[in-house]
Amino acid sequence: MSTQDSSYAPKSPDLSSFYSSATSDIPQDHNVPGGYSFQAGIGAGPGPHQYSTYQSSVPSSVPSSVPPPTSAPAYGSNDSNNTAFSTYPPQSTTGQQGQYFPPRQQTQFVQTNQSPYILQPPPNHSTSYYSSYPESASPAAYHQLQAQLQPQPSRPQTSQPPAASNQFNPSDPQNNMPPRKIAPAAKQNEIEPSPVKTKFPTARIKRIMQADEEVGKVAQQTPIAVGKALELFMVQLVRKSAEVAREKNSKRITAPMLKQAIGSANEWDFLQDIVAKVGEEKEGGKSSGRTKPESDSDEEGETGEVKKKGRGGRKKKAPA
Amino acid sequence: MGRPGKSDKWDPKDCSGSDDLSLPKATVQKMVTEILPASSGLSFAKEARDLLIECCVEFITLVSSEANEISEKEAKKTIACDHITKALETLGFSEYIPAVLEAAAQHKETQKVREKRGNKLEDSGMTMEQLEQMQREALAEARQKFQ
Repeated sequence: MSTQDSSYAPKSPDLSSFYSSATSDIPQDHNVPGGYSFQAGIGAGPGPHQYSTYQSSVPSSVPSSVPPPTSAPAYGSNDSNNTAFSTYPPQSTTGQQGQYFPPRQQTQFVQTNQSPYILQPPPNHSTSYYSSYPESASPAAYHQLQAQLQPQPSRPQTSQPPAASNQFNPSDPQNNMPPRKIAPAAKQNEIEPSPVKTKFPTARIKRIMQADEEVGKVAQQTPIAVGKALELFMVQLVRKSAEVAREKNSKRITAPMLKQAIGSANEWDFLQDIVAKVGEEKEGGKSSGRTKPESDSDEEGETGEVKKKGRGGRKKKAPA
Repeated sequence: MGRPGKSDKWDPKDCSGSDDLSLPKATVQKMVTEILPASSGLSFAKEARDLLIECCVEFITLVSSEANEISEKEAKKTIACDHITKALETLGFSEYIPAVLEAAAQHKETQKVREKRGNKLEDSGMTMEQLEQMQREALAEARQKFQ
């Protein structure tokens, strides 16, 4: 902040010289304080009142008068963003002297350009402002004045709205995530509250686990962990099959739809042999013209057999 | 941990055969309706639900056999939570792991509370000296009665 003040000091004479040269009929003593307090407002920083007027007036003026794009972002980042503003002052002390001068000169320049518009009628107005308000209020009055002036030149180059939309863009890909495989990946970071309140019976899970003779002792926590995993698995499976049903404009989720849902994910390959039996039967009876599930069943035959060989032991025991 | 009979329908079909190695139909049905929002207007067909139950059982079997293999490799006799999470990872369900760990940790917490609740010694709120004193008095009393 202190660097700012020192940087302003040499600047302010320029200001006065500008005004005096451009419009001689304007009383200098009134305008220079205006320029000063304007800068002081920035230096003093976080006055929310100053901000709102500042935002509306100044950033819009900058792109219009400043062709080089490098200075415009610097200016915008320093002043236009409320959130950025609080974080920026520490950084600005290093880079400010370079970044700040161009905008300052531009605003002055704009003003001199427009002096024919307003500076002749409003001075009376503004003098009353300054006389009635304490010094702290003068920046706001100054900005209001600027807000009146500057909308016209700023229109053609509206660079501010795109900048705002740029901030929203990163969030867009997160919002559009229809593919199923992306959704679970997002779950990894934060545990999504389960839609299911009912829990699977732990004892039953343990019994199913131990139906496999190879499975010996099971820790107390284990069936609970398996139950939770099963719950998540079921949620995914049901949601996927609901998706399939919606695609088919069906209100009823049928076994073939479940089968199709299972065909959509590689992790669910282990279900193919189960679905192969049941799905085809139901399908043959209920609907004739579905080609996709049948083509799936061809693959199922192979993968199913492979899986059976791989995990030979448990398949036989289950139905006993 | 008794038999979870609450949501179990006493269906004669269920009783015969491999009911014990399946999941209670009513529970699964309830969960399915919980998953499908009422606004969607979707319903789950019965045969789809039965198929879903089969898939769930298969999932348990798959995970437990995978976990069993992992535990055997580690020369452990008991399948622990750790083995389940590793199994989930190898089977491509690693996205379940955080929630599974959380559920297991939660269960551990409730288990601890339960243990504490059952502990009369800690619930009494007395120090060991006080308790010993009480014991001595009780013994003395009994001795007096006996004599």
